[in-house]
Amino acid sequence: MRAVVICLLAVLAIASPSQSATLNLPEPPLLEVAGGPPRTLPVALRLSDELRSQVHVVKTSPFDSIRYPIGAYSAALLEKNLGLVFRTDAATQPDQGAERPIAVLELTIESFVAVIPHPAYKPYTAEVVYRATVTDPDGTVLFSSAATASAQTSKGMVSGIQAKSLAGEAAARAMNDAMTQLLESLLAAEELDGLEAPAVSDRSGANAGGEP
Amino acid sequence: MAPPCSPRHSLTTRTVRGTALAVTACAAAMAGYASAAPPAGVRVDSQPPGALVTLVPDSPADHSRTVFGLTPIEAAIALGPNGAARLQIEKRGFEAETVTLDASSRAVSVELRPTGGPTAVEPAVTRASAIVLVGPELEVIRRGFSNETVSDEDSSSAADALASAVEAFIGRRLQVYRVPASQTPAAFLRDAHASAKTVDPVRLPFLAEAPRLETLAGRRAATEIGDHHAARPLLLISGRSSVETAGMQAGKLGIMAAGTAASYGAGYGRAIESGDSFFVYNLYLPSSTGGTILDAVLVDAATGEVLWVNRGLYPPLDRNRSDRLAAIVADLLTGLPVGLTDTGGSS
Repeated sequence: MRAVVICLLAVLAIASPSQSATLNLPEPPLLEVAGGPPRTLPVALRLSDELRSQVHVVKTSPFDSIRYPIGAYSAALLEKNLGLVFRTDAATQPDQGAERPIAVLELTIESFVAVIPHPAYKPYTAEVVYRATVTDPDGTVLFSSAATASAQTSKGMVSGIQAKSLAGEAAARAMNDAMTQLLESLLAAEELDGLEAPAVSDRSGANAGGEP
Repeated sequence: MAPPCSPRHSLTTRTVRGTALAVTACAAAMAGYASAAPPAGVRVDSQPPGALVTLVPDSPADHSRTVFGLTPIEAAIALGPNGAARLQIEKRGFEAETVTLDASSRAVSVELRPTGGPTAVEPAVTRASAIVLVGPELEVIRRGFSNETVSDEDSSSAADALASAVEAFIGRRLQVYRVPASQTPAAFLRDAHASAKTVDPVRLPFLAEAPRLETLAGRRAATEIGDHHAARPLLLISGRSSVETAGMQAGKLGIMAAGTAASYGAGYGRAIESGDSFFVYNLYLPSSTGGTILDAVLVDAATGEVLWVNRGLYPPLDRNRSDRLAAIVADLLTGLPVGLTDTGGSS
């Protein structure tokens, strides 16, 4: 009898589709970015479909997994905060802007690591590495910088009943922190200084690989 | 006691057979996913020798590398599902080479082309007489029964204790100047943190050329810090430490004790009911939720080059146990390429 029950359970487990829950990440916040007023440089934002659809999956059991919609969140986070760094009137897809952009900004997620702990009272952690690449309209890289951040959260012994929200909280905090650093890096980028004036754009481009 | 031929024994036998069948079925199903048989030892050679051999993952999203060792080497290298394996052969000062193996590959030899750049860390850095310690940037998280909080006071004191341990460790060889993270330009911290997370510590000494801090602002900040202290090596240590409060420890023990007692009671009850002379129960043991993650990165202030990176996972930092802190620091700073001789000085 026990063998029959085990076989039935095995068949059910194999036949049933794995359960995949998608995290409901919070609304991307308006970040506090240090480093002065936005640049007057008109920039086009390129957020690829690949980025927007990027999902990180953590298997929590042989039949369950949790999906982190990191691409959609990161894209929305950057779109919401881009005005802190660049003129937003031209911050559209490269081919849609009325004004020909001087620079194109692209975001990529180089890595994302999340831990959903076992046992559940251990910390929920997330770590992300973003990369911002600014190119001229011809594709020459003017500036490239990575930013990383990690976060952890937990409700201790009562974490299990809030696992999804804790996982989402850790991921959102890591992405918010990394995006803040990325935007501050863009504000501080000497490689982009003077790009507003076409006469010095060549000099700035040469600076991208130059000595400090 | 149950007789030898009781129904329970028969059931057990059938269950075991069923499991064996299931395992056989699983193995058959998995056979389609198994990689091709590895070649029986592939010899990898390079000119010059001493190059690092790693396996390039099939997926661009996979940043992990399997390290086989330094040339010349003979290794059993498993081929991927496509019947091939890509090896990267790297040595500082030479262009990296990638070779593809298939099932017929038995020996590979490559001639590495020099880049014209340096083949090792500059002696001006390795023989420096002074080093700048940035930070440590440390966040201590107190993990309670139902929440966790960052303790600024604990973070500050733990950072001081860690800095003292670092100074004691390096100070035997070098003059150490400590710069608190709060007084360090953000551009340097951003770039150094990113390097600590993105540079592979194992491959770093073998990359064709040393990676640099990525931004002009970061490199300029490094130069300013180095110039201020007349020292080229800049060491940044950062990390996070989780410690359990007494409430968390008591809560864990209580729940584990209750779980063990419940399991014991249920097993004992079943044994009494069925007349068995023995029973089994689960003994639940609490696992530690504390620990420390530390990153260390060494930067040449003059060039912005990332010279060395290391990471480690350690027990919670106990600032009252200097011996443990010393052991952590000694492990974290293993292979730090500065202060290698007693002579020479920083430039």
